[in-house]
Amino acid sequence: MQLTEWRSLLRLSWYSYKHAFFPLLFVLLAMLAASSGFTTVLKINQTAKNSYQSANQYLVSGVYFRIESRHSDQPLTKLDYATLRRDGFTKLVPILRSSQRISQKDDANPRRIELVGIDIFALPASSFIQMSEGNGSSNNADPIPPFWQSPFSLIAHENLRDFLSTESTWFLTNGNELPQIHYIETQELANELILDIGALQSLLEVEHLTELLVVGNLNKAEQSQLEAALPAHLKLSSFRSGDDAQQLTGSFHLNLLAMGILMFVVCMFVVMNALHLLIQRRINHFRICRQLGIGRQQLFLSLAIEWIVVSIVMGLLGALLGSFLAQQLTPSVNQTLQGLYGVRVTYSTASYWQYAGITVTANVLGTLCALSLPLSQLNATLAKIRNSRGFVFRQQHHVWFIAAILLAIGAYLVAVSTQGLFFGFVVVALVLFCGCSLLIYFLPILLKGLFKLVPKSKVMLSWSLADSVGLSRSSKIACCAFFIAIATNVGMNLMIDSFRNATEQWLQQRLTANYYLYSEDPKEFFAALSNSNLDVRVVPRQTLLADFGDAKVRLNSYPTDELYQDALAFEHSQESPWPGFVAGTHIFISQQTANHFDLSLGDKVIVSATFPSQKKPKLFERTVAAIYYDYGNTEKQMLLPQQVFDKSVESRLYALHVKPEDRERFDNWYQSIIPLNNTNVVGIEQLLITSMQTFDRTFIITGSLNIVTLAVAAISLITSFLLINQGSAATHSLIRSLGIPNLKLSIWILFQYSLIILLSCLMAIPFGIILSWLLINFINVQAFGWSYPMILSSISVFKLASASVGLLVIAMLIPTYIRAKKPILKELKWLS
Amino acid sequence: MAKLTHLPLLALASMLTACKPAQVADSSENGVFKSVSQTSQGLKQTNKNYEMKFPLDHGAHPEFGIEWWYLTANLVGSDGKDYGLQWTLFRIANPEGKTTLWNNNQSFMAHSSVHGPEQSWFEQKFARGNVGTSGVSIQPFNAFIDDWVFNASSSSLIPASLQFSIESDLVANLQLSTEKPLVLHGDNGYSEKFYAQDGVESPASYYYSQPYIEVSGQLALPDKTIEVSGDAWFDHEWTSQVLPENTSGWDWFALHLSKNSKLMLARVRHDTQADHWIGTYISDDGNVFPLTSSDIKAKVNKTEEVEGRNLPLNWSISVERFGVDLETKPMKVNQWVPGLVAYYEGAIEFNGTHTGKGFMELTGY
Repeated sequence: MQLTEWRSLLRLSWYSYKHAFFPLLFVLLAMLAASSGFTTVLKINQTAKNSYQSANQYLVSGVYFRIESRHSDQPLTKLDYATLRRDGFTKLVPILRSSQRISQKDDANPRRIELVGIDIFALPASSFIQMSEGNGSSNNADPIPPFWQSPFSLIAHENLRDFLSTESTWFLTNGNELPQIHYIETQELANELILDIGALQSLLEVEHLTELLVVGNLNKAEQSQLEAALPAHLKLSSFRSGDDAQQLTGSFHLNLLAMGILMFVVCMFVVMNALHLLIQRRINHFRICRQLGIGRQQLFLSLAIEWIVVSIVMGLLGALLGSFLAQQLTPSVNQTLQGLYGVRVTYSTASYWQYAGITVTANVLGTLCALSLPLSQLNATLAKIRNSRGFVFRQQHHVWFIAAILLAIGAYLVAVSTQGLFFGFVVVALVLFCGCSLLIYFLPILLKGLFKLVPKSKVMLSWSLADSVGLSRSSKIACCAFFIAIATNVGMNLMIDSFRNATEQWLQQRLTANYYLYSEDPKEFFAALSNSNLDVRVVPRQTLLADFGDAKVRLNSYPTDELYQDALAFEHSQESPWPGFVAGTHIFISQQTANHFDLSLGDKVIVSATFPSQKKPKLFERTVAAIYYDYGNTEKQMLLPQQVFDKSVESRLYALHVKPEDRERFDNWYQSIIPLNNTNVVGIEQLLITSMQTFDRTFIITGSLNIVTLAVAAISLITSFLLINQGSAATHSLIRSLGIPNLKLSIWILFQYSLIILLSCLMAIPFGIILSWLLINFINVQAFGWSYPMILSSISVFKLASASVGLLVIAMLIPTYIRAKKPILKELKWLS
Repeated sequence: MAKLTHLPLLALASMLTACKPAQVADSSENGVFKSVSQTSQGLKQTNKNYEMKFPLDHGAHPEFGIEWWYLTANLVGSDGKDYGLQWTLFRIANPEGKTTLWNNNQSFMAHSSVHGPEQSWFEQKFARGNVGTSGVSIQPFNAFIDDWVFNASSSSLIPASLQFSIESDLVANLQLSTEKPLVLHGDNGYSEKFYAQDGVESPASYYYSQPYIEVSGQLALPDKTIEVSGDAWFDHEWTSQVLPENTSGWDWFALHLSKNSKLMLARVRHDTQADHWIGTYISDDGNVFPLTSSDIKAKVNKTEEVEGRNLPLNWSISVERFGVDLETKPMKVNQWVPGLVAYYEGAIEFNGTHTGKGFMELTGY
């Protein structure tokens, strides 16, 4: 083809845009939504992955171990640090960490933030030099100001700027003023404020250290050598390795990626429908081109080039928007990951181009896939001498039913024969596709059934139902997108509701005391409490890491009085599990421990733990008497009676039982001692609120993606119906020529749309329930090792379904309105 | 005459002269050694009438801006190969800062390097005073940073041991001994560095050496341990003064002319004025003679590119007054010290009226 012909074709495409504003807008918006959503999840996941792999801890990379004190009575000191370095263990970096309430003058809402003190002179020489020369410690990082020297300053990630407004000075609860905060962008920082260790000690008026980071990985021999050199009050422990953290959070990231891909796929449905519409608008242009001797292949090639260019541009814009969204969402995602899995996730400074490449590629490929069907239809249309009906999908109904059965069998076989989270998502996908096939098969049948039920005297209703059959066939792809959106919405909402309900009930049952104290060093608190004349029962919750075979489990203390017996919720238990537990013959294990180690009631377990007060490990040989719920915990836990633990075993959590009549006095007393460092007392009410807020935050992204998916499905339906309207113009003009007013016809057309939406929604609900069951009992068990009772709330489903249908019906006003304002002459053109 | 390379107030800023002036300013303003490029306000100044007292003056002088304890050694290994070894502990004061439990306004930096014919090893360390990971004490003399330790058996500097490791690639374990006295450079240890001009006295440091150290010990490599022995030269120097503006760097030589006779020479290079030579000649009978520019004739015979810099590695040096006429060449070409403050510090050998070994330091290239 000549260059001039190409130019003419492309110019023709360009001029056609002004006649197809809405379809073009839908294509562009769908591409933007697909690529930005995809980039957002890619960036969030990659950020977390990079963070795990760098094993970064507060400006120091490659940290896998730490040294900390065994008990708060004998803390880690500067002398311990210096002695170890002089003994040749030179890759140690001292850290002081403290979670502090900070406030501004007359500020009624103090904020809690982690302050981290570090000695940068202890860093490996290369990192130290980079920092001392004012460079970031990694590529793509802002320069780090000399925060370690007088006048001291704090550094925080740029993302904390809004959280910590810089207008006035921050004060600690002891009245000391925080130095100036510098905000920088670097991938080493998370949600903390970094300052010089000496400056932090001065601010907190303490002399101890929290930990010594060990830079670089240690082999077994090096571990043993270091452990042997440690004084008795110190211990070596490991951070979660990058692989562990990745494995632990894999389900979270997979879930996010699945939602992102789902959104991308649904967006491509919209692209497909909108492209149908655009091509339909240009059909006469194409016919003229053909008459001028331009071949079909050239036409298709020009269309492909046109849409590849558009998809590249939208992919680049989408990647830009996605990067921005990811940046905005990262603080809450990081907080969620830290809260849920105990992994520290830093911010990313990854470049835009890293993600733009992947996103543009996905967008181009998705667009080409989406274009293939409209092009094949165009091919068929151009091959016909006369096209009177527009695009009609071929009708081979039985194929869909057979496909549904095969997909259902496939889903069942995958579910029963495989393990792992990936296959869990495969089952979910197969179930959804099975649902789509059934929808395509049953929707016209249902509409036909309704048509048969309606008396023929109801002319418009009869016509409307009869026409809906064809409409449903023509809009089956958009209906599938809507079906998937509704099913996933119902499924996710039921799952989240069930989990929320189970968590809330479990928390209410589990929290027996009316206050909880979190403290690394509670001596001052208890000294003040003993002088307060308050009658408070203190129950320490002691904890110890123990060996169970080759694995580690956490042994927790549990009181055995009646109050605490009632508070423990079991998934399964032997008859009367408590006497054996109290007598020291039985043990309680968490649901995730049971699932992970394949343990059940009556099994014997042998756990070995070294108490700080004893040199040799102590063996606990017990029978499993009960399996208890322990939602949200990724650690494998076992419970032993309180009396098993002596005072040497660490406790950072204390239940405080205050008499109801003393609560006001206790509150007042606590307010008076707030300046105590590292002490945080939370009332049960606040604890429940905070827990549930954290819970809701955890699912905020999932919820947002659900809404976006639904919105995209709505756009898909709108474009589909706009397309069908063009094909139905002949019928509509005929009806109008019979004297039916345009408004009345429009109302009946809206009725058709609403009926298809309603039936699709009704068919999606059972699949949403199946999906929810799969998420709770299959995906959740694979991902976390626990499940919870599914709560099927008909009100919740009804609300969700009616809101979705209502919104979609309102959205359908758009194609209805566009059709209604079309002059009758334009419709009559089709009769000629 | 002082070993100019080791004068961070004179020195560290100038040792960074490979950088452009702006870079030097940026680096020093943000950097750990902030005081280095700043004025010496708040710091004690050198005094011509100062009389050194030992063992007190072996220790640290925190009231002065910069100080270093410096050992260079020419060693021969049991494998028959020559090894050049350097161990330095720098102390830098920043009197303006607020002190904490982790910062008494004294910072330490240390360099260890070993050059063999085929391999080179280098590591640097940093620490702050008041932490317990670095410091200098005098009863007995002990200078350390982490597990790098120069440890004397008494308040005398020598006999002593020196231990350090470079990453996990080399462990040096050396015994140092001597029967000879210390050598005070300049005027009883008061060492002027440049011309006095415009009524302003020359910047100066307190500077003494122990050039007669006999070394024996081992260099442990991952696959073998090499027994080594040879001669070492120890310097201790402190000051608060800065070199004149437009000083571009210096070249320093410590030469073991014979068992008893030693020669220290240094040239301060200036962009707009004539270079300034200082030195000390120690004769066979132990007499110490300060040298001036008029005593020393030196010429660069050959320059070579090392780490992207053109360095004068081969020299002709003569001190006619004492019958010294030598030609020097490096033991190996690349003996660059790639530290925060980068410079050339390497073993050399010479022949002519004397044959022997020594060390050469080149900065500001």
